[in-house]
Amino acid sequence: MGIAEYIIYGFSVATQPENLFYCFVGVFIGTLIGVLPGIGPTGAMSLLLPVTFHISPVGAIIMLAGIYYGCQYGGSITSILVNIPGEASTVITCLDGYEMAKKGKAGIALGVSTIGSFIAGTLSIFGLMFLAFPIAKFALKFGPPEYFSLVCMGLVILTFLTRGSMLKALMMALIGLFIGLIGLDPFTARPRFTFGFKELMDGVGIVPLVMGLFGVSEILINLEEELTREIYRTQIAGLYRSLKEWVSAKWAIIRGSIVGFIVGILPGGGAVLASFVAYAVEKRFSSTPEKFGTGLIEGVAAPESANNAAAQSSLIPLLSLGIPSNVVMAVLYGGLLIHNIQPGPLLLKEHPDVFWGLVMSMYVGNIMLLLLNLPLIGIWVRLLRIPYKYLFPIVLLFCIVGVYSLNNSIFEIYLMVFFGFVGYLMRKFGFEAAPLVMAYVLSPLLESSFRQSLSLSGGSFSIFFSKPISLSFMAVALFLLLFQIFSAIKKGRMHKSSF
Amino acid sequence: MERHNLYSSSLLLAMASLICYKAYRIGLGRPDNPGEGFAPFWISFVLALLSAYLLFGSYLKVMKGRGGPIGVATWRKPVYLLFLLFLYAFLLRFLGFLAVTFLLMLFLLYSFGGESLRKSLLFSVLISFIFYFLFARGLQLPLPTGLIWDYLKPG
Repeated sequence: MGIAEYIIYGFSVATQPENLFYCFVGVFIGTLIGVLPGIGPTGAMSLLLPVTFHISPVGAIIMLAGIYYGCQYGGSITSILVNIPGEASTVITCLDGYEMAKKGKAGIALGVSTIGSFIAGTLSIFGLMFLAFPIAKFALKFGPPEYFSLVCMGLVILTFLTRGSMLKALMMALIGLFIGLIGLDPFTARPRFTFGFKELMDGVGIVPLVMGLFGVSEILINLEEELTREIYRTQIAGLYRSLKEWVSAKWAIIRGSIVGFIVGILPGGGAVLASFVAYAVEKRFSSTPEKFGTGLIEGVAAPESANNAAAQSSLIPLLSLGIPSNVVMAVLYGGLLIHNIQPGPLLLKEHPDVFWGLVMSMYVGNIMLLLLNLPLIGIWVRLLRIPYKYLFPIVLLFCIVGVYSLNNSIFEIYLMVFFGFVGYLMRKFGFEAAPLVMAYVLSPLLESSFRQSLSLSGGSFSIFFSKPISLSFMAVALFLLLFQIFSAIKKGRMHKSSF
Repeated sequence: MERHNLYSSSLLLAMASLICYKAYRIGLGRPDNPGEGFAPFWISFVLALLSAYLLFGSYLKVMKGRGGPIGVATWRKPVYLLFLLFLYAFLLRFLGFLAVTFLLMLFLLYSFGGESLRKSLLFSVLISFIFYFLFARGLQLPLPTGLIWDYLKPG
């Protein structure tokens, strides 16, 4: 089949009534989660993983992906109107979005954010369609040494791009690698580090881990201080008007889309980093950079376009290489595995319905979001008035039921609470959870490819440096690691923010 | 943050050393045939090195009086909630989903939310039943019914 046939086939899968319904559920929940600060796409996707057991693999993946890109749309509403980002990727939108709202331009800001997100999302899907195939074809040449080097490079880039200390990110990645090894050894089937719990024979589940680290710990942190939300009472008008202002933001939208698309593919990239980079790039391109932060439409258009472009381009490494580029993709990876679908180069050949159905559903989802967001902004804003004291018990209960329903096991609840405690301590002590989860997901692949490589080479480590593809991945990883170490030594503050 | 780093790195160093020891006991194997303990050993070994580095750096800074205090006053509510969640998981098997969820919701809204007892009771009953009917009846999820109720049944 040629690409045109695949596109038609994908549309036929995505527009099946069942899949349309799951797409709508996904983008609706995504927008809702994006609007309500606290849960985030990672927690929401983990929460719904058990629900997907009862539906088809294609429907499940369409719904989970819908949550992610739906979140990017929803998060901007809170950033603009409340100055509280509903989602980490919309933090930067607060700067100009909220200022625009204060000037009575909330409608224009919301409008440009939605339209920009739609354009960026659509452009990104084009990129995904045309890039995934060649990358997957290239990845078919990969053997165990290449996969080991690729994962190593991914983990180093992830810690390199981390917001806080690189040293701490590395430590978290190592802990994630260790947690991923708990359970039966894949080669000898002997239990490792199960501490006598038979429930740990299959390893630590991704859902209790993610729900604990992100969902429960977020609630624990929020309990420390009363969360006060003041919605800026402004007339939300001009959503469809002010075409002149929208046109003035067209280059910001295009630049944001390109930046978002590129950053989304990078390991450790994703929507959060994309929005920050796009804002910085836009400031560079602007003739009035000093006006950024005072309510400039470009300051809303660029990051909002970038986070949507990144949300969709980050599917490329996951679907074509089987390597999740960020923590949300790691959860999606878990979702695919639950349905016995192995992400990677063979996915496009073995499960074209999943790949093309998902890609085409994103077009449909973007249109749904456009229709859902512009007319319903008033309703989303009203949701923000739900007091946190009513919201957090419900979120907590969703987490409990979601985790329990995985294996109908109370042990999973204990595990989630334990990781909630760990996540809380990590936040208090300045450690990020994302490298831990990413490393946890990649750990089995890293170990099996490492052991297979050594068996192939008769115990020689040179196998990782003798094959050209593996060597180039290793070279990038080593370069980034050494670059970071030397620059930190130069600055003389190794364990401060730079390293 | 230096004092935070001092405590967290000490904890991580201890944990990494323990894993190292356990992994060594499990068996490292040979380079051409690595054993089950090989990967955990080297992962924890590198973690121990990094933790020791962070510990040493933080210790020097704390000694120079750049530690900063650790505020424990804000920890009360989160620790209380964690205790409640562990208790919830423990009681779930015995009292069943409906009863334990009702109690948890009541505690959360009354003691954390500062809501009146009447409103808290109403909210807790409502939420418990909505969740029960949604998941146990709607999605056919076998939520625990409670051993104690089976025990108390006549006959």
